[in-house]
Amino acid sequence: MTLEDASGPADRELVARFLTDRSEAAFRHLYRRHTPRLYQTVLRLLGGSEAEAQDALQEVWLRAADGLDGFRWGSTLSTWLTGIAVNICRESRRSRPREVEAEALVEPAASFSDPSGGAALDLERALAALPDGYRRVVVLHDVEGYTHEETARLLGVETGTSKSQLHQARRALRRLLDPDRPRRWAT
Amino acid sequence: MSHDPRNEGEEWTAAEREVFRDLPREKEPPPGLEERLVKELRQRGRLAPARPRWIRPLLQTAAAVLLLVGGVVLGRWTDGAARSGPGPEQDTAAHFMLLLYEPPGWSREAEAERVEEYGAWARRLAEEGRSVTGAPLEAVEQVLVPEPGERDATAGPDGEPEGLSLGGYFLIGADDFASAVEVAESCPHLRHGGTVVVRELALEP
Repeated sequence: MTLEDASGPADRELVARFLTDRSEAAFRHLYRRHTPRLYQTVLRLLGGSEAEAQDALQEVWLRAADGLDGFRWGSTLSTWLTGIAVNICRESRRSRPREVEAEALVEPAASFSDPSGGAALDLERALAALPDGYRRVVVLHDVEGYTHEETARLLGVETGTSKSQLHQARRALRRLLDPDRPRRWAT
Repeated sequence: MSHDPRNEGEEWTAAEREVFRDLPREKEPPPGLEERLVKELRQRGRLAPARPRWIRPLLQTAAAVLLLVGGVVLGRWTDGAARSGPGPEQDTAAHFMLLLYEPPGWSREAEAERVEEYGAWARRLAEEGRSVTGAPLEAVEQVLVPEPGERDATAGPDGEPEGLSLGGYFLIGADDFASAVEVAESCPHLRHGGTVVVRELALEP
């Protein structure tokens, strides 16, 4: 069942009520319908920082409230909200010290579902440990299920760039999930 | 959104993709965030102001009547067992009205079973220590509408949610609006296709 199929009025109707009548009930309905998924996404994009995620989530809704009159339904409301979330998370991280990006690996790592590689971070922790840019593309494509084109649009880059970033991000993720494998940092 | 099978480069195995699929997709935000957001939006003028002042005395009177009546006359949904929790006049939690609306074509045939089901739900709340009282409402009604220009956006021409008729109510105690909504979400009225509107009583502290 998609978010749009959830019981109750459709998103379009709720948005119309919110815009036309500043309906609190309509806003609360939209908030409750979309926030659980949005919050999980924001939390993951920010590497698991709850405090940062709560601030970001509030900012998502405040910006959404300001921008809804310009939303033309070129995507689902859920995707549009995710786009706002991606931008806010990126802005939130810009104020933090620049992180050293992981470089290419020597060889692909063992699968993280294969225990024969020894102790390894579980996937959630590995995602949190990724550099911000890598984490964003993996979360959007591999976790949330957006296509390359959708992911690129959400990130504000060309599709080819998004694919390339995903390739590098997956290699970095594999390295995190298999810490016993030898690593080499590019100079 | 849909998964693009035309990935290049590092591909996850089927087992690895399954691990991704098993990741939780939702997480409840901390309580209180919704209320802070609504308050902020109201301050920014993005939400209509709270109900007009003139309706507060009406709600206070209605609440006082309900508290008095609830202590003396028992509705068909709540009996002695359902009132074993602290009464609204004793507990210190805020008080919330659950208004149960019925869509067009609402069936009366299963009324007896619904009464029993709603009563059982109320008894469970009371056993958890929550104040609760409630009753179905008679069909005859008088709807009071706000003054022109202050109409509730979600209301139909006569003041009720459009297309729906008010079939009953519950009055419950809860710590805050989010908790009241959480309780309301378990109300069996929803499973039968009804609508539940949650409102806090505008009582003087």
